[in-house]
Amino acid sequence: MPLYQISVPNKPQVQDNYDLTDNIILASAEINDYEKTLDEIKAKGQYLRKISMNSLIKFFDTFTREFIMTADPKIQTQLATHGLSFLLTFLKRNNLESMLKENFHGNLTIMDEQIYVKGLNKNLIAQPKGVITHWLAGNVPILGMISLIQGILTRNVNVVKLSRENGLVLPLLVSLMVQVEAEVDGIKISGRDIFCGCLFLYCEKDDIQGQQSLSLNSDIRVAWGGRAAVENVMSLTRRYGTEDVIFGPKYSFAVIGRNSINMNKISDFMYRLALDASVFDQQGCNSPHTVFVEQGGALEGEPFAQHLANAMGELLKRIPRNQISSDEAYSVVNIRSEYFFTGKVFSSEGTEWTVIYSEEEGLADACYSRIVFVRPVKNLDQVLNYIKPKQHQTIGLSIAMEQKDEFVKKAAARGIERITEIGKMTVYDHPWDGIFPMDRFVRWVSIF
Amino acid sequence: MNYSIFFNQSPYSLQKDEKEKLLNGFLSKLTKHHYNNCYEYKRILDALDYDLKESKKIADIPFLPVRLFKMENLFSISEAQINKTMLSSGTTGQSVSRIYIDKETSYNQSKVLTKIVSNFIGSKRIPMIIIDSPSVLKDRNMFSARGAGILGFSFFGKNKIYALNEKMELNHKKIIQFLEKHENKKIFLFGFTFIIYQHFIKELEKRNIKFDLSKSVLIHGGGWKKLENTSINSDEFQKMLNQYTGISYVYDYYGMVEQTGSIYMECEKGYLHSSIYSDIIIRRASDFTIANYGEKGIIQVLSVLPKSYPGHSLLTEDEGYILGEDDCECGRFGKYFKVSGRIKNAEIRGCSDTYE
Repeated sequence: MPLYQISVPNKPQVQDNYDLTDNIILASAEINDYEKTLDEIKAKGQYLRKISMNSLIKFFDTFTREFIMTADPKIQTQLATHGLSFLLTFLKRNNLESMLKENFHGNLTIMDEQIYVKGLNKNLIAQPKGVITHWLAGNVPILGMISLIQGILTRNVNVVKLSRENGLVLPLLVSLMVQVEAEVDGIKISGRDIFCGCLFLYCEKDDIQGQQSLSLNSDIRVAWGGRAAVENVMSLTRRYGTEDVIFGPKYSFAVIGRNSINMNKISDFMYRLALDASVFDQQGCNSPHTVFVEQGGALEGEPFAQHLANAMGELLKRIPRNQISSDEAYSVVNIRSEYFFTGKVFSSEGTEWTVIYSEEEGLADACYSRIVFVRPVKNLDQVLNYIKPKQHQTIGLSIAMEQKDEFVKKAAARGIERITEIGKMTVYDHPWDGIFPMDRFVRWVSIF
Repeated sequence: MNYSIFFNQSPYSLQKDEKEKLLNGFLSKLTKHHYNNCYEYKRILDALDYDLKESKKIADIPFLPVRLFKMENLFSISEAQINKTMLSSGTTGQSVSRIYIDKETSYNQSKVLTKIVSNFIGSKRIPMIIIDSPSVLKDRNMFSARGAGILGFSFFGKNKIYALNEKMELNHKKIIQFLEKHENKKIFLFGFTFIIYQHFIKELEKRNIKFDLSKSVLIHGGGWKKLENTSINSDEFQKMLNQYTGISYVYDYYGMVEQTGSIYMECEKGYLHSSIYSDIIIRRASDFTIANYGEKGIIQVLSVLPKSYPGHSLLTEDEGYILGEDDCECGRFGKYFKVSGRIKNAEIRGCSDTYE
């Protein structure tokens, strides 16, 4: 079975109801000699080493402004459901700068020139590791774009193995970016040049030879997706020195302390909680599936679930649901029916969202499709017992200030990787999954 | 509930308006019956704020997902009235549906099945070959879908034999003797699609055996799911059957253990038909509104038969589309449709599949 190269269209084009999944094979061409193709991309990718970090940041920042002004509304609509606004916020100068500083120990330009680091009493410079191969997941394609942008900012050559599902979202986004030009210090930076060191391709998941070829030609293997997908990548043969950056499956949930809700601002609070459960249709590893509500507060039990349900309905107006498949719809009906017996179900008339209150203990199975389980807990220590390292990523936390330090210390010790305010669970920030990804994408060189 | 109104009519005799009128009234009564006699069903309808007083059209009657019968014991009779329990087919490790039947429901199932099937093969009993093993019927109180199908269709046969032995191997000698005895007679064959292919057709092909069944008729059902991994489709299936048996009258049917009796038979034009005892609605996945003719969606089935359990309105795990109503070239009234296949049990696609 061959590897297929997915070309980036010269001009972004989207027809009505264009399927970004099923057309992936139509948009592709067979790669006859992968190593030769990769050598060509590596040669082109040298361009990134010639431009400054400031230029790269300026380019992406320019894209965010130009896109909103000039992009075809049809494309904007199509990409809106894939987290376009999320990406545009990510690419803004302020965000990129702060993220780079976090990853590069405070030294934004450390890939441009050597910098004296006082604490070490020596100079440091960061260098790209070489070829990053990104194995992407289909559930939230925008995370793949973020993975790619970080590969570009660290000036690596980037091979992007697209997923079948939503596989054409990234090429479409990149086709928009290659139209952009930015000027820095009188020098024009073109999107086409920036992305010339990227190769988009597709291969069937059972094409072991193709997958192996990608792995053996990688300096870093980045894998996004479910357990089977990332384990599959990790099982491929790799060269000595190749490193893995794994963004595997994770579960997230929200915790509401008893004295943390201000009833005067309850609508706003619920809206933010509903936002966390609605972004990306709850398919992100940072999306909450269970909301634990500590008993004894101003709002708990069924009334809490009812308030959340109202907010889910409001959110639907702002973030419409993606197309739902028959199996997803069936699962929604099924889970609702199941909880008609053992809990209280609040839901939209269709399959858009569901809030289920029940007095069961523990974390509910993730059902996706904006299905949120609200469960009471006697105290927050009960929740700590549910945390499992490497399995649980984000807690959206609402807690009285005097309890916060103790709770987060215990939660961190148990293995949680991220604790945010309610409403910020689905923001992509650093560290992610416990690591600073761009720190892992570079090689640190110390100089006397 | 008076079923005689159905039994006095031919299964494909009512056109849209008449059928709707009949089913609207009857299925509304059945909904009330289950509400009053099944606590779990009542909970569901209450949770949905369903108003029993308002007169409803069949499309307004809430549907239960068939999977619910795998999780809950649902019945609208006393436990003492349970006459038999039917189990759905399920692969190893899967839970199975349990359908509780009383004597009245059982009788009505047989009656309706007879009316429907007679419309296709006539009502005269004829020599029958069951393409299965007799071991399927070992426990008479606990029927599998296969067992229930065999028993139901056996009504149309006489001098019955099983084409397979206890080990699911071909009873070659027995079939030869049977065919010699009934030479030049019409024979009725019945079986499940997968069993027929795997243990009959493939065996005939492997051993290069040919039977003369050119005057016979075959009814098969159970779906194509288990044949998904083969290249076999309906056309290929019939072609192979014809090659090794000469049989040309082959009817598929669509049905499920949760609505035994009111099956959807495939007509001579290749379409599945709803009868006056049942109806079909195609639902859109996004909002469960009713899909247009030709538009693929999730199949909802309605049947007048389930009285001992609340299975009269079910959301199946199949997708399909309706081609029309009352105007099939075969001459039968009612909706006619195609089943596209099982809803794909897609891999969990979110990031949270770590939870165990």
